[in-house]
Amino acid sequence: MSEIPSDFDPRLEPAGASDESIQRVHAGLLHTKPEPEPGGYELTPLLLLGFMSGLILACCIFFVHNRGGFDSLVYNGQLNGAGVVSADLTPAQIIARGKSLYGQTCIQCHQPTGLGVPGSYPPLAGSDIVQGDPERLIRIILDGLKDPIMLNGNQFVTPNKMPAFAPGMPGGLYNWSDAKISYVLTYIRQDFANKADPITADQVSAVHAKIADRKVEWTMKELPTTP
Amino acid sequence: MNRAPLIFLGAFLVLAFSWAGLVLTNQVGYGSLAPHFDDTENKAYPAQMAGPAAQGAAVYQDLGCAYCHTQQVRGGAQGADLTRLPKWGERDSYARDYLRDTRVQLGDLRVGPDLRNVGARDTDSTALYLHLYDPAHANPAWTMPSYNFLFEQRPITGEPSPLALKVPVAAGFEVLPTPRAVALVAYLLSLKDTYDYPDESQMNTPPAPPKTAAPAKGGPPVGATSVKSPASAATDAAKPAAAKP
Amino acid sequence: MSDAHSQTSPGEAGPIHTSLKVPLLVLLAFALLHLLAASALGLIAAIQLHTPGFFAGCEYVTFGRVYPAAINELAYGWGVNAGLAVALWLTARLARGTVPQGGLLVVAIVFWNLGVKLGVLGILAGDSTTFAWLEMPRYVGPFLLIAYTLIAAWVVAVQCRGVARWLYASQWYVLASLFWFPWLWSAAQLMLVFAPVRGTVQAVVAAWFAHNFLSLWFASLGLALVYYFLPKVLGRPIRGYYLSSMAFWLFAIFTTWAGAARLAGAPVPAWTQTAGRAANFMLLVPLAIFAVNFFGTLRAGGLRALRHSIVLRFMAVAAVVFTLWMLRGVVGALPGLTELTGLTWFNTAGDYAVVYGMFSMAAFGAVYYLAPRLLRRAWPSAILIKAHFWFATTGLVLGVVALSCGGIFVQGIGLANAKVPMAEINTGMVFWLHLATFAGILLTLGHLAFFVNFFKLVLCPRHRSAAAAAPVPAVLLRPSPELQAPAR
Repeated sequence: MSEIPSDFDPRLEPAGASDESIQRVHAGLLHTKPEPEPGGYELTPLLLLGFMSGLILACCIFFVHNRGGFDSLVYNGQLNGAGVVSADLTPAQIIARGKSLYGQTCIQCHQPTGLGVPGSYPPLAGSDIVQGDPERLIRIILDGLKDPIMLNGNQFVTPNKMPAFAPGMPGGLYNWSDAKISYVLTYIRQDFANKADPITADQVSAVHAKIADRKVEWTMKELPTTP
Repeated sequence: MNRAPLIFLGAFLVLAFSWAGLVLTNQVGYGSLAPHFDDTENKAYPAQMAGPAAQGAAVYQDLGCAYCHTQQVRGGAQGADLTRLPKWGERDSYARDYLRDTRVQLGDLRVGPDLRNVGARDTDSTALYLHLYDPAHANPAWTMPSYNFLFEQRPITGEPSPLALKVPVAAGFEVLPTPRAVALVAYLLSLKDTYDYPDESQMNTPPAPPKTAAPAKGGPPVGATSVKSPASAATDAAKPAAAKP
Repeated sequence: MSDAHSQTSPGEAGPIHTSLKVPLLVLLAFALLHLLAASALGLIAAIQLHTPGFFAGCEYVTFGRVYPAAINELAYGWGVNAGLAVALWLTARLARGTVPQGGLLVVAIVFWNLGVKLGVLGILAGDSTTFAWLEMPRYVGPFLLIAYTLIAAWVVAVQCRGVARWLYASQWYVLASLFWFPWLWSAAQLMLVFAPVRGTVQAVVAAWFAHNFLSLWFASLGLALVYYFLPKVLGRPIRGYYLSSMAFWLFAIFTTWAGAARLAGAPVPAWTQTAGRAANFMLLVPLAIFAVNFFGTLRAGGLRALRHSIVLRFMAVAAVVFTLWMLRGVVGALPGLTELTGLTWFNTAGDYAVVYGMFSMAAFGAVYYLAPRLLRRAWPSAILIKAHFWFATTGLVLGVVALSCGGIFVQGIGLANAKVPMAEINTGMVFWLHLATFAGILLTLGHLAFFVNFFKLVLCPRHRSAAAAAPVPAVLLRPSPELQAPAR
């Protein structure tokens, strides 16, 4: 090159310090705190410590408020799992499940309206058996019901008889758990303008335990007739 | 700070700390989350992806759709995903929704609409084909490029194919989706998180104000159900696809 | 000036520079070629965002492929090559060790670049993994890891051969980055590509990787350069240096957790999102120390120095962008704002800021300092240097501001409002995306200026015959002055 760049030529940068001196000086500085200069902004370690402590406190509060109960399934941090510990279904969920179960099975005979088919399938809407003694209702659904069926003076001859839903019943195809049975029973007791108390899975289990040995369907005569 | 081995050790530990804290803890926490078996419906959710949909997921990945479209519905205070019309989802997304996705493509930028529930709002495959072929067709403001390379022009032999797109084309020809387009659309249609998982639903809904209205007194609480029955899901799916979001 | 003179009186680091020359120039040449390729691909992607008809119908150049290809060219082609170059150079200089077996090192470098090229072509062909900053197809993953490990091992070997008794701050960052990258890469590849975890744990791993790649590779190497060049150019020690080791560890501890804030609103556990956001807040502590270190030193050195030293200007921009990037993390994690900025260009602009504004600006400055010393001649054109600086700075500011503004005011507010349809957001973004494309053109012009200047400097056809006779500028031969400890 013809011209020799000067010290301030932007094509070339002069070094302001040698590497060795940079390291030596800074190695000394790493462990010595300089005196604060008057007027200079020297962030004292004390100020930094205060800032850091405040920030840690703020972050902890923030974290505790938004931790979502440390639960892997909570996506909304503000909930914190409060009031969500219960594993029980809400009444609405039970009804929805019962409705879904009804729609898969019962609906073919008892109809979407719950009115059944006159002469063949008895109605559920307004039925005393449905709204009455829970134990009787549970027994029918667990083990099934044989013809003839007499209800309010009407006789029903069922082309497909009421099947058994309990697991292990001969000829039973459903093998429903007690919980499932309780959902559908709660549903039929509260839809079709019926108004009866829900039936819990525990109630079903209690009846189930009582009649665990029975392997044949019920007849109308065997069932308790109290409402 | 004068010993290189100490720096290496410290660097290793710092990164290991965050790996253990963020990655490992989450992997242990929900890495082996199982699909939820709904015993009333006798089905496991999320449902297994059908063959063509799984192939479509690969097309979605290789075309890089995730760079413009997210697949995460944000509920709560986060955005307006649940309130805009058509809705981008019925609820916010849960981790369990993604168990069947071999490659989870949440995306981190919304240039276009969220696609996590596109199958629930666009049920018409013809509209999706048209949209891929010519995005400006529905709305010129759309900045999505045309994916016309997923389609081919063929001379009509015999009867016109039922899959042929209704687009202007030379006489005697028709525009048909290639197998990749068919797979991609099958995948898009399969994207719908309409099932609400009971656990997540409970844990992510703010506790209701203490009005203990048991359904025993309330008559048939059909509308109040938080669990979707297949019947109501089907009704939603059958709603005509509204204008593009 | 005679050959004998230039070897016996080498200014600073004569034999070290001789051993560095070939591997470093190869690394930088590859880095620059990748940078140009990244600019071209990035421009195509930027144009496609507002003009969807651009290259439409061509599968290999569709946005979903060009965009990740551009990002990976930038990150692995330019970023890792340039990062390794500055790491090698800083280590050789500061440890005062020579490079053993430079030829073998060049082979490793060539392998790395073959891997990157293959990976980018794979992305264009549709083999991307679709995880942000980790799109490299699975078949190049192990290949890249091996090539990287070889190169990094060389740098460590140089450190071991060195005779220096002290480790300076830059060396902490360099050594840690060299080690962090393969750690991150292999963990992420294993958990995402080779033995993928299930469900949204993938998203957690991907966010953990993406943020750490940006902060532990790009930001960390950028910090190394800023720490080195401030005293080097100004001839003054770092202000408040006694705090810098604390800043190093606090930065490392909190930034490795901060990635989870990218998942705000995503279907990953709430505590993970919150931990990431809290880590972003905690980063204010190291940020305060960095600010004292950098801006205190710059102020003490006198702002006049910025006018004379182009290297210092690049470093100052890097320091400012780094500060803003950290503040952006805090702002984006604040309650109320995290909902607004989530899934918008605001976040993406932050990623560009750290890769381009922090790391790349610092690396440009370093190349302007080191290349004349390696080659013992001055840059051919001062105008091109200035052009590069101004194009890069304007493009950077314009691009990041445009995407951030559009991201918040159009996209963020639009997504938060159910009444704003997506098409309206698209229309509103077009203006900002045009600005971003214009910024991309400026950046590309800057890169072209850099490219021309660099290759003229290296090849220097005009002076080849006279190379032996060409006088070595006096600045390169004079021993550097001693740094003075501040008066107590």
